[in-house]
Amino acid sequence: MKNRYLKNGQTFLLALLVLSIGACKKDGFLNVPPKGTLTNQITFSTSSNADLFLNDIYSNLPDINNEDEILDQYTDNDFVGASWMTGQSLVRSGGINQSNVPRGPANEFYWSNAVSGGTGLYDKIRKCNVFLAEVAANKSAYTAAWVTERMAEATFLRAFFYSILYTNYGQVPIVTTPLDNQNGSDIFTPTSTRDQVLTFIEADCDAAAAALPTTTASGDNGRPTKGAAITLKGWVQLFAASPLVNTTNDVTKWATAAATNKQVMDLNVYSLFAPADGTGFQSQFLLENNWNSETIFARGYALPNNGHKREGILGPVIVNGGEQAWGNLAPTQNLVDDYEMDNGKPITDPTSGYDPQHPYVHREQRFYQSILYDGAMWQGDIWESRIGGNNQIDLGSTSDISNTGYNGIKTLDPRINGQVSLNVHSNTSNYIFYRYAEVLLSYAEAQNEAVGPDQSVYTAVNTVRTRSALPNLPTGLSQTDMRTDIRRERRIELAFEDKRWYDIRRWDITTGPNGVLTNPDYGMEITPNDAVPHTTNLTYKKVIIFSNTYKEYQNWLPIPLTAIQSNKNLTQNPGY
Amino acid sequence: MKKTLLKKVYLIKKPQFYLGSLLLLLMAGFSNAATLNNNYTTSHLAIKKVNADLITVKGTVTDRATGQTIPGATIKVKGIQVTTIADVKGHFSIQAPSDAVLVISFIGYDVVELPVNGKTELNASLSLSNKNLNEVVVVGYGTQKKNAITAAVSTVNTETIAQKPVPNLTNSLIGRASGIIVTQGSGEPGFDAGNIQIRGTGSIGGTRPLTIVDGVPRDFSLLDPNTIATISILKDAAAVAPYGVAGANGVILITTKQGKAGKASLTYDGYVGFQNPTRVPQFVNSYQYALMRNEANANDNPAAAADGTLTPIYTPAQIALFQNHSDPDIYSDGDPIKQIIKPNRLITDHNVTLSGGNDDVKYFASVGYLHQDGYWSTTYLDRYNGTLNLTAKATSTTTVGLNVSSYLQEGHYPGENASSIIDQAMRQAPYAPILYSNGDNSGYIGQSLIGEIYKSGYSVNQNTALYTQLSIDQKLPVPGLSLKGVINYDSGPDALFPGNGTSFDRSWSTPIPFYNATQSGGPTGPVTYTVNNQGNTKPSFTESSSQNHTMTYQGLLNYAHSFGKSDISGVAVVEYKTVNFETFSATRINYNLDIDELSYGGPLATDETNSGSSSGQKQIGYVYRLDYTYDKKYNLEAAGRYDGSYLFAPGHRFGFFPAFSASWRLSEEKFIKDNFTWIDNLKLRGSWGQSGAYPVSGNNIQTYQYLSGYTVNSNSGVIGGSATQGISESLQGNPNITWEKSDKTDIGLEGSLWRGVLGFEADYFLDKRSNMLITPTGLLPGEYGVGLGPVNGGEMTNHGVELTLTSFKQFSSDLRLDIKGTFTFARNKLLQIDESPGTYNNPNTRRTGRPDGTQFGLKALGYFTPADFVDPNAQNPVLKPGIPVPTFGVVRPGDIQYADLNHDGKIDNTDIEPIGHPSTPEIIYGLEPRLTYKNFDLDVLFQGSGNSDLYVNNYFVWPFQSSGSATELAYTDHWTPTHTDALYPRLSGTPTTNNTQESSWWIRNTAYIRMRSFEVGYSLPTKWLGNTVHKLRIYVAGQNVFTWTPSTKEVLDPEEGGNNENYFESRVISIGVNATF
Repeated sequence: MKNRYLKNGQTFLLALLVLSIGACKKDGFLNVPPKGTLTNQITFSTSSNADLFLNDIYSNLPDINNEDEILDQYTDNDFVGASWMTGQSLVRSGGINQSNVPRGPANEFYWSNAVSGGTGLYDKIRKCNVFLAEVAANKSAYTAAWVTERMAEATFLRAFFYSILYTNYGQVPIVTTPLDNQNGSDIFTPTSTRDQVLTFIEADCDAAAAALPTTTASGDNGRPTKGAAITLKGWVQLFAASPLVNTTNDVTKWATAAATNKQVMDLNVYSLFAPADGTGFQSQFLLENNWNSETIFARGYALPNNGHKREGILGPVIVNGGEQAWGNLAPTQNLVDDYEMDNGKPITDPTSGYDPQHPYVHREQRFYQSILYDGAMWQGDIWESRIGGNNQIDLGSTSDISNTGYNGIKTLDPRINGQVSLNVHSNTSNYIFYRYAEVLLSYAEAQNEAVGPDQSVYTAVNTVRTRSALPNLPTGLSQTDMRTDIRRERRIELAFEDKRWYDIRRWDITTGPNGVLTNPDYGMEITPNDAVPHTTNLTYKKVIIFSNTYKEYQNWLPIPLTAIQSNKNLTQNPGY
Repeated sequence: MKKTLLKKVYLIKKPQFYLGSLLLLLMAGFSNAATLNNNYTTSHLAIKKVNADLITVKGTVTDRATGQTIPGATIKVKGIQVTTIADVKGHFSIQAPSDAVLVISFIGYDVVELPVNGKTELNASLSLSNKNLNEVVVVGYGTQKKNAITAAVSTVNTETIAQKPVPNLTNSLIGRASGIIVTQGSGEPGFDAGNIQIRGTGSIGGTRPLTIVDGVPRDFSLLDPNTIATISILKDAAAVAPYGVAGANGVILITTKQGKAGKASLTYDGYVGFQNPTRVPQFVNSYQYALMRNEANANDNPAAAADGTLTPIYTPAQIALFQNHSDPDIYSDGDPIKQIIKPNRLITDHNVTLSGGNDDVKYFASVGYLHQDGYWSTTYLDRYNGTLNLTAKATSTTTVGLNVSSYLQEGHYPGENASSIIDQAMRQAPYAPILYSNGDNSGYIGQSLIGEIYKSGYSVNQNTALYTQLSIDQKLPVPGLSLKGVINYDSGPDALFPGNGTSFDRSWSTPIPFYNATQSGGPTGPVTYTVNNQGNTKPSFTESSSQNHTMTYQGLLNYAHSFGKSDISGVAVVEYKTVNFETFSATRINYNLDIDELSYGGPLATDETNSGSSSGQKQIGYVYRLDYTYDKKYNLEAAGRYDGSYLFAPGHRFGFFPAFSASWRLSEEKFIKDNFTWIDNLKLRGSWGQSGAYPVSGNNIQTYQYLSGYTVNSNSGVIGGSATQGISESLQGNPNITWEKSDKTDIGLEGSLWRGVLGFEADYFLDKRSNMLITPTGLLPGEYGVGLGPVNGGEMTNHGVELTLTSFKQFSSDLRLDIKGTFTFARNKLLQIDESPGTYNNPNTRRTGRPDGTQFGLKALGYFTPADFVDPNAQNPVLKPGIPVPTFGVVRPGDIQYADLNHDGKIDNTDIEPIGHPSTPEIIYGLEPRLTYKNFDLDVLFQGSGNSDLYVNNYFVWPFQSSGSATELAYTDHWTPTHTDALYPRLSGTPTTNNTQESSWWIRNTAYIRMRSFEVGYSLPTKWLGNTVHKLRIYVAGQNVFTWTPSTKEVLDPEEGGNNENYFESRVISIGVNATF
């Protein structure tokens, strides 16, 4: 009997011992898969899971088609005086300081959530860094082709976010890994010089371009291509060659920028969107023409939950007797005056045929495709900004109606009712970050600065003009005249596409005697001379609607104060 | 580890398999071995022996102290089943073997054993038992004699709580034991669980104590009180040490009743009670409302009021209509909150218990039913409890136990939740009827009160639990050594994760139609009723179910033996626990058919949604406790637990939580024994140890913090023309995350004087908590790009005193008085928390160094007077120079003036300071007298609290908040030029931002004294009862009978929040019966 006891007792004690020792040395048996809680382990366990992480980064591209305050409001293109337009009022009053950094459209200038209280550039950059690091670490779980392509996409996206930092803040810290305060590494990254930031973006673009496909299948629309990577690189190089950065006018920088933009042209993938009806300039922004031959990189939209409300936000206010939209796209007289006559001559040319009392006749085609003016049709209604009109110019900013006497219509779909747009976000047209016309104009600008107005410069600019039925530029232009024409061409062609803010700063034309942000913005006050409805007997008078203030040092945004306070290694931009 | 052992290592991955095998081994091996010992004939032999030489023994049982006889004492022959009861004169006569031992017992007295030794007359004198000394107390993984305990443990008398009309057991504990603080926030059936703290707020994370039922972490709140045998509150380090990482907030141990050897006893216990709200504020009638409205209007427009151009909101004619009640639809005069609350709502409970057994098999079986009505007929609750506890001696050395407790609780509610209904009832102005004269339900600001209660659909919550336990206790051939294996399978509420449980919910939400009456053409004009709709236009239906399955495996090795003057005992435990939790939920919307089944929902794919999730837990613990006693005087104990949990990163999962304690029974020293005979017992004890708490923030244990948290977004980037799902990193994980650590020190003195006339137990405790979760900010550069998960950085202390006083006096054989008083004081102090520089740098606003939950706000000085203004009657009056200017809009005479604490000339939120204690009381006390006189018994609990403050707001105190109503108190006691020392500021059309700032003006001291419960019973004399009924007692009981809140003028229950959404707590009066058959 006793033996039996002992035998079993010994077995038990031995089992207890083994269990105890086992538990001490190895606690893996306590693992519980965190199924209800998503973690990095699961996210990067398969390529299909990891794709979702990258999808999220795409959703972090600025959603400007749902933005109230587009970037042209920070420039002399668009003026909306409503008090809640904080970004533009900050810029125009010279109020930019380190605790008051304009947020940019769709908050795209935000530094990071910790600094700005919303997803910011460094949050987005971290996502790219996490993706790159985790994919590299889990390579064996994926196919090689997937790794190559997706890492190139993430690299491109990182370069894209850095380009926003570079072209707004200039010198910023370069973070290339997911910062980790627990592994003993230095998490306080010092500011890199502007040249270093540029070099970094160029390298990311090169790496991405080397791996990205030239074109994507339609199921991958929205992912970057080789052309997108080179275009991004050409853009930051153009910025770097421009007077704001290239203060010594080092011509080789222009040449570099020209060469890179030329690479895009030489891909022979892109062409200006030019359907036979001649509306290509305008209709490329319609949803049925998404991913057309001109689009290089864009953000896509989809119903039911990912549509946009651009028409509701930006469209004209009173249409067909009712308040339809918010009217946040109010082109200034300054912009309107830059549209040429249909004979290709600027209105300042005495031979152009411009009549200040009939300012809207015989203007170039892009004027009619971009600007809603007094007496023009919109959605079957005659839009009148004249005194007494249905959208009478709002000189006191007491309503949503235009402060300038104009409303922008380029990029808007005239078939979409403003209220519908606001309610159901019904449009799914792309927001285009880069399109081929910009590449042509960037090439022309850089080439003109590098070697002068050679034939390739003419060809590039005239290609853009021809699509919109304008005559070619006169031959024999000086480099300076060509510069003037290219800058005007760029302003008109890319109006309302959030480009002008970058152009006026890199050209360093914001301040000074002719500074576009130190001179007033104008509107058009139109007074009927008789009581007949819809009379053509009108008096046109340009009126100052706002007197701008701006400081040259504000061409670079200040590093936000909170960022400076939380990282002693940062260097503030001069002037702040 | 050697290679040869690798096979065994593999097995370790499946500890449940391992423990299961061990138990099988136990059953197969040990019990088999024991059977072979041939001990089964013992009782048979005894009976043979009895027949051999029986003699008749006669005698009297008396009280040793008083000499009075003790009728009803039980006389039993030891070892065999021969029992008799002493008669009314205390005499007994029993047949027993001449060498037998008689065991004489009576409730309340120490048991006496007398050897017969052939004598035919034996008198027994019994001593009143001193419960404090001989009581056996349930402690972690075992029991200990009260006088040998070195730890701080208090117990609750479960007899006193069984018959009180309290549906949720958590609310039965308050005031009944020192060290336990309970706050009941709501009286809504099914949502009335009290928030329990042991020794106050010890952590900024969670303060929920661990609850253990029959040795296993389980929720106890919905168990049938009639099945509860013991409740122990484990408070200090020594007591909670066996619970390791889960013990720092204290432990509540519950055991369920087991059968007792003897004749089968069938009992019925039942009561019927009537519930009414403890306190319902009185709101104004329409006449008062109209006057207040007009006064507010005049206040808001002083200039117009002064020159007589102001149009009153209500004309005298309209006010007259309010008074004469001639138009019940347009000029109604209601009291919505009182109208929807039905009086005397039923609560009833019935329980049948069968208990009994013999020395080999004992059983306890119980079935209970509880029904509780809410304050409207659409809210009610049914609960069914069942318990079966069996113990069997499988062999002479093997005891097998089976415990099963189960319940189903089904709560029925309207489609709208109670907080929305009560809010609407308090908001609705009296002029708006809740029903029109034609019977249609009305609406007020788009919501219909009657509609929300009766026409909004329904919600049914079914919560179930099944607690099962099989245990095998095997004595080993070493004296004093035994081995016990326990397997538990539970399906029901999770002990650690509140909200996780086994449940099935259905909710049917319908559009709420209501009518609005409008009158055209003045007060006598025609009235039209237009129908409106609240909520969605079509019904929706949701079903959700969850399953929580827990397996707990325990192996215990017990040892107890004496060597000369030394007593040694110990226990070693391995406990392994796994939990699987799953939820599933499906919703259909846009019902065209009024059929509340999932399959009948709207036809579109977008009308259907479903979701689900699953999670699990794994824990293992190694527990030990060693006790050494020398000469019954000196006790030393070491206890602890080596605990591992899945919650932490691999390599960081195990922690060790030791505790040491000692006690010294001074009363056993010769010096005291000889000189102070009035000291029955005097014990000094002390303990120190470390225990843990799971990392909690926001009341939930945080899981997987060692991994980076990722989130799925259903609407992410558009690729290829379609929206995608996306994943983003929400927080960076903290691989070093660990448990909260608690260093506990306790010193206690307990004693009993004058043979129990005074018993006391006093403790001082200090708990230093560290490693609490805080979210670090400001440590990272702005370029970091993601937030950090919480880190173990918080520190606080919590200290206090506890006192329990007991007294009992047997005045005569008919009259006995027992009194128990408890007192608890606990105060905490934050030492290190994640505090922003904004509050930290200002000594007035600093949280660090103050108790957790300290309330901050502006310091109110009183009311502005006309003399404070340049022109008090101006539309926008300007304060005279030198008076700090509030930045919350225009102020007028009668508005609250605040102190400019930072002397910057303006009042803003930089002027705040501490204005009140935390809302959880620092002091809780109770006084529990029990009196028995002949067949009567009385038991009362007075209970009170102190050092707690409540921030009152909304309709309670702010007239017309959110177009709401006003209380009668606001009508009688608000500021007017002639009533300047009013409770409330001047009236205005909507409460002004200035007056609704969180300030000391709205802080109320919620100290209270309650007659928490009483019970008066009468046991019918035995002679009245027939043969079937052995005992019959009838009683009247009450709960929350009376409440005194000396510092609060507002009519509110001091345990409820100070706002507008609390379902009222109940005052219950019940009558009940206990019958034993």
